Amino acid sequence: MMTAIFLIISWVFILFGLIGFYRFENIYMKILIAGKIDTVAFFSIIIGMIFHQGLSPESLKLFFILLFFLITNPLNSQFIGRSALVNGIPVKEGQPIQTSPVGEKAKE
Amino acid sequence: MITITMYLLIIAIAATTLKLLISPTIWERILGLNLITGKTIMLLLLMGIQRDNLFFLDIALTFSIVGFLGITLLTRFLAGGGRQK
Repeated sequence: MMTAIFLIISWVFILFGLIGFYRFENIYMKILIAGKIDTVAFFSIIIGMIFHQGLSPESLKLFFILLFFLITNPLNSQFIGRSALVNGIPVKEGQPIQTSPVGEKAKE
Repeated sequence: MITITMYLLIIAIAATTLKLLISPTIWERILGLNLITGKTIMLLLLMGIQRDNLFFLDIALTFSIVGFLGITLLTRFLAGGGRQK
């Protein structure tokens, strides 16, 4: 019963992520999709599966995967946003970029 | 219930790939790659649970590590100015 509830929640978030990825045109709005909505969909799937498995080594492994994904997915979104900002895509149209260059560009 | 979620994930991956091919800038493409990586991990997990096979969970963990590293290095390369040096 509980797995059904959490899986339905994950359906909703997967669909929202898809609609958001198509509808928003600004790159930074799309990063919100990857950073948050995708992570929440993953979270609800994992919780549903943990309920489905009960107390077993599989649910422990699932918990580790959940922990790892919760850390790395927002990090990925941050890296993408950072590289877009450094390469000159304004957050809002016409706003100047106030950021320090990174890597080879910093040496110039 | 699990198979319905898997079908939904497959449709979501196909739609993201379609959008990824259309989008002009490279950052939307990397973002699409990030989304697809997340969704394939979900797909792997559901397949593992459905088949009651513990190895799929290891594959999903390894895939998320590799996916994270790939995107980190790719964005690091791009943030440093890409190929216009």
